[in-house]
Amino acid sequence: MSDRLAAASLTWLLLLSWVFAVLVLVFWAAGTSAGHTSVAWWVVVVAVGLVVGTGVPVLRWLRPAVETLLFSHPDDAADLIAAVGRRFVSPGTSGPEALVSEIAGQIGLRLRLPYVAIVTAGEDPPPAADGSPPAPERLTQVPLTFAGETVATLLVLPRSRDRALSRADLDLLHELAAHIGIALQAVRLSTDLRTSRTALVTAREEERRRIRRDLHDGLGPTLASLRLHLAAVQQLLPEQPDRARDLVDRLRVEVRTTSGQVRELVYGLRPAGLDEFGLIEALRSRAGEVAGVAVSVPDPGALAALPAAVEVALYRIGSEAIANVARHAGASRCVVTLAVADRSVSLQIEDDGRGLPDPLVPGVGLAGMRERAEELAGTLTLRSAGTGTTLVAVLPLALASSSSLSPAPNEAGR
Amino acid sequence: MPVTRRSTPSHTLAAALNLFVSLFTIVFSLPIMQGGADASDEIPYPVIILGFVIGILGLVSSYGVWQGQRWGVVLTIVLNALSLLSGAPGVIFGPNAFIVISSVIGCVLNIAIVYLLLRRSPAPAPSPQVPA
Repeated sequence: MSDRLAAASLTWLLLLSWVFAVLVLVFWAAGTSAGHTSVAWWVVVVAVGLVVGTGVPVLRWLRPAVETLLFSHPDDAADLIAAVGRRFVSPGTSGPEALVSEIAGQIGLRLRLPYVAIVTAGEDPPPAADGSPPAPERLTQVPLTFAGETVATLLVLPRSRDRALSRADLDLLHELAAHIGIALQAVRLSTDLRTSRTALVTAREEERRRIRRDLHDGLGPTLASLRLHLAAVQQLLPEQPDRARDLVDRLRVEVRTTSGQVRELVYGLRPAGLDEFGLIEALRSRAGEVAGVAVSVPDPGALAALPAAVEVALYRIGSEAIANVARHAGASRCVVTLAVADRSVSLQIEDDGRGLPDPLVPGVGLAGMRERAEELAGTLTLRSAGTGTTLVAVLPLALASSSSLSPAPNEAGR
Repeated sequence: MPVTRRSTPSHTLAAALNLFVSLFTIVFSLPIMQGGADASDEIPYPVIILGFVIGILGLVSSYGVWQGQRWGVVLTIVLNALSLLSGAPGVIFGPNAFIVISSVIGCVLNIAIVYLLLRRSPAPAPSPQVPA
């Protein structure tokens, strides 16, 4: 309130000075001096006309100029950017939402704006200080962008009910927006990183629990049973060799079953074919299991050893995509192509089926494939031009290079 | 890290003009002030004292403007407005041509300084986005 009063005082002081100067200069130009006791009527008319004629434009110019000087000075941007920067680098316990709210508060405080909010797409603006929702038609929106992508929107209510934000205000807000956009992106990435790290730890613990359960509930009792049966065989062997033989036959079946359980467990950790034959052969093996579609996996030539995580992801995506082609595409032919570049590897699955339905409703399989690609900072695209569908998964090699490289059984990557 | 401020060309010019006006006012009013109220029969003594104070403060405000400080800009604007209000009557009621001409030049310089301080540097403004 005191800021508004200061701005109004300065504005009206300057206007008063202007009016006074105009009157004095007109009277002086008309030859009025200290000795005169009367002033010609036309001088008064000209003076009043000039005061009225110039007063309104001068006031219109003065108001935003004074507000710019007091509220939107370039120094404010510099101070605000510095304050926001300090807030980001200083350690704090507040979460991203609180941080965004604090930044909006800083902007409102330093630029003397009655309402400032930062909202992401689809989010409703928070209520004003008095609890009422801001009138959308009065809000000015400034996009907060990073690398051409709008990460959030800055909503600002002008200081005056009857005047929009000045050009200086908009300049300042756009200047701020560029910096805040970068900062928000950093916060978002940091949050994503924390979330993904938590998900990683959770997934690892879930996997450990599953393996423990499989070993404890499946393999453990079976081995105990085998031990008891072997003891029985030992007792029966001298006197009842026929019963002992029958028991050994049953034991053989049981061992085979257990062996299958172990294989399933190991396969769950990493597809067996990958270690034995390499990615291409594993995909060919998977393709051979599909009926009704001729799936070919061309030889890409000599490939460098791929990171284990990338190899497993490509295998899973390829397997799921081939199964989808067989289930939904109505295709007669499908080609799976693997190509490795310097920094990325791509897997393309192309069929000659009926194409994608319109509208496309992504199922669990497609979401899973996309998730696998994004887990490794890769992309998954699906396109269809009338007939046929092409799915392309591109995974970077750089991010996964820190993980262990898969063993190269015969030829690297094959 | 402290924020580095830089004066714009129009502010630098305003600071120079304000320094000139302030020095002129001090040099003009100091001898009359030393003579006392009786020596200033042509100009009211309070106006002389006010002019001297404005001149001294003007030196400080010129430095503030030159340094790109907002307080300097605001102080200079206020001082020039007061200077205009106190000096403008000299245009009509000045007892001699020197005071009249000085008052006219002073008024014009006061207005010019305020204009230079309040005008915006020509920079392209992005178009506002108003929600539909």
